[in-house]
Amino acid sequence: MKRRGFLKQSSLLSIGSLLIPSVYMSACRKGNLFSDIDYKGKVVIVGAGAAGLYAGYILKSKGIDFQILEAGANFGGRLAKLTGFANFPIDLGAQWLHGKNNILGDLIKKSETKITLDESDAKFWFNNQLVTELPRDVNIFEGDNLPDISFEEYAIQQGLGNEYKFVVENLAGDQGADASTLSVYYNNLEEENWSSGDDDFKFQETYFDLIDKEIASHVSDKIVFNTVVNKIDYSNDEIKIHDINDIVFQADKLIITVPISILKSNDILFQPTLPTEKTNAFSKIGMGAGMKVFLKFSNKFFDQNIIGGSICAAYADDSVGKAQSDKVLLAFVMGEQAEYLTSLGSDSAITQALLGELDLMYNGQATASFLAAHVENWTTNPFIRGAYSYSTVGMGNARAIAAQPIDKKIYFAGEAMNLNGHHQTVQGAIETGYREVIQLLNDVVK
Amino acid sequence: MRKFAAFLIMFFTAFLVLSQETKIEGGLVYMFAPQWDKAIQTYNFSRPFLENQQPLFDIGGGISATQIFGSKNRLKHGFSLSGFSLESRAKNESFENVLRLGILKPTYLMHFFNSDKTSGLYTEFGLSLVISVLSRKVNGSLFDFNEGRYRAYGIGGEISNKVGYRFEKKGKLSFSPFVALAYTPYLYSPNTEGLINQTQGLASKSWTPIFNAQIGVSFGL
Ligand SMILES: Cc1cc2nc3c(=O)[nH]c(=O)nc-3n(C[C@H](O)[C@H](O)[C@H](O)COP(=O)(O)OP(=O)(O)OC[C@H]3O[C@@H](n4cnc5c(N)ncnc54)[C@H](O)[C@@H]3O)c2cc1C
Repeated sequence: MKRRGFLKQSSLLSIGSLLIPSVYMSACRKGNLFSDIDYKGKVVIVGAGAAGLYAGYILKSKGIDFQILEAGANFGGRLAKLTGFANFPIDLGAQWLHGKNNILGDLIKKSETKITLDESDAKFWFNNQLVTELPRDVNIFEGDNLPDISFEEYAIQQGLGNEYKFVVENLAGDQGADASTLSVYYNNLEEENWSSGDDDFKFQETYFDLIDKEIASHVSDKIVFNTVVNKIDYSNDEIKIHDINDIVFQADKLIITVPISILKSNDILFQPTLPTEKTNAFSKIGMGAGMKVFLKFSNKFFDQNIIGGSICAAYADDSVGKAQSDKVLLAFVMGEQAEYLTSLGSDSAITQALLGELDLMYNGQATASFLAAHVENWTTNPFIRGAYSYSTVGMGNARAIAAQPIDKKIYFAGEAMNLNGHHQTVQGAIETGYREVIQLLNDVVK
Repeated sequence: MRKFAAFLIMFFTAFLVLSQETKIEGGLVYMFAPQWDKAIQTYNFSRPFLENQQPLFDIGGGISATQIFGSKNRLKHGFSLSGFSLESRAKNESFENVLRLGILKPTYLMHFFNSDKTSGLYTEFGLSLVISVLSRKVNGSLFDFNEGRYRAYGIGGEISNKVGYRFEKKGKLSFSPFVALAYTPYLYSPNTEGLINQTQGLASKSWTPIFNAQIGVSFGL
């Protein structure tokens, strides 16, 4: 080919291939996913916690028919609020916004919700005294080449003696686990995906208020309360969802957001039964006991955070970040410690045990200035049964398997199904809520 | 340090002596990066609380400087350095979100033209290194998307083709309108989703292909 011919042809080719695809692509590119979706099917969501509410909110924004079935009498699940106990509202469940680089950070800015950075100081109960620093650094559970053994075993291996037991329990408790069951390897692996930021924030109102005002308010008319789902029959095209009163709901697609503890305990019968690989995956995801006890005093004798107690490894001043300042100390009790306190059988026995420990730390001042207590035991809540999911030894890719949809009909959301390192959190639950709607709509479109 | 400075001086002297033509170009760019689209689409999808949606990155502007090296052949070689900037801005009540994308491309190019004439069609094939920098501002403040990280970087390679028509002005001065097409098969940008949608691996892959088309004018000195 002559050079001139070559130039002419390549220029025509370039111009043609520039204009045609550009115009075509501009026309095809939409700013939103499923912007033209017109799905006429019905979606049922089981559970009105953060994940279920958010999935509903997204479905509503797409004009899709849905219903939320909730076992309890309220929405929010592990987000709940107590008023009247102190002169500020109390978070009975989720309380801290763990990092604001997430969807809730955007929602908080948009709604101008008041949050404050929690910069409270900590003291350690170590060798029977309160100290500001520990002799040894306990941040040994992050890094490379960590083994798949428990926190407890690893701490011993690394020479952290018995005097560090409850400091280590506090680290495991943050993850909703016992030090004896939490995997060093998998916990670190999942933490590496964490992208929300390291700071913790507290709500001037409560976490529940944010979810209530900004999310639940859009879908509350779609929630059917006191509906304990106990059977899901997906053997036909139409899914039949039975509750304990044998009321049957029908759906084309189902999003299930109940806590992993409920899935593990087989409270819900699936017909046909779920694949063994899936039920095995459920059982590999940990969920330990958890409770919050709020102790109100006439006197502020306590430090902002107290770590390492043998009855409760983590106490925190609950008034931090609040507009009012009643003297309320939160006992954040997880894992074995929560199991032990639950075994005491009554709220007053639990309170006495905690006051006893605080008396030891603060020379009897706890009992002397004690006014009232509120025990919120999430383990005895029949629809929650624990705190939040954690990574067990040998967990492998259980979360990914657990989160796989079944037959393009049943979708799994909820904090335990988060694969982006945000499990155990409200933002993590919300991410799975919209992720599963995307999956569902992808299946519809296909 | 001295050795490095001496090398730079020698390099630029040789560059100017050898260079036959210097071109300054400016134009509009149309960009399509499917995985970045997905991140923005997922952001829009997942945030019904925002009334106004975040636009996709599509049209931006760019400038570049090119040196073509002298030779009697019809095929010449050259280098260019280009910079593009694209913006996606969505203003909502109490929430203004601005995404800014900058792309820098050092390019090696082959320049073909009909040397029998002083003006006319020419075409260029380019091979570039692509460096992308993405940042986000929320309500005017630079957004820290992960523990003190404010920018998501990307790196990849690109092939491109440009066609222009050169009008010769007085002396060596010339100007030429051109169109260009470029394709980046792989641009690794692992934190883009983290910055846009604040998730990792939920909305998109850690890499994206990029298609872009450009229309502009080039001034030869
Ligand atoms: C004590 C405690 C403290 C926490 N602190 C924080 C914190 O500070 N920050 C943070 O981000 N996260 C925290 N979390 C975790 C956070 O609360 C959860 O990750 C999140 O709320 C889970 O939302 P979800 O929608 O996945 O599940 P849930 O909120 O548990 O919702 C599931 C819903 O399913 C319902 N349900 C169960 N069984 C059935 C059934 N058979 N039929 C119908 N409905 C059923 C339940 O009633 C519930 O409403 C805390 C949790 C606890 C327990």
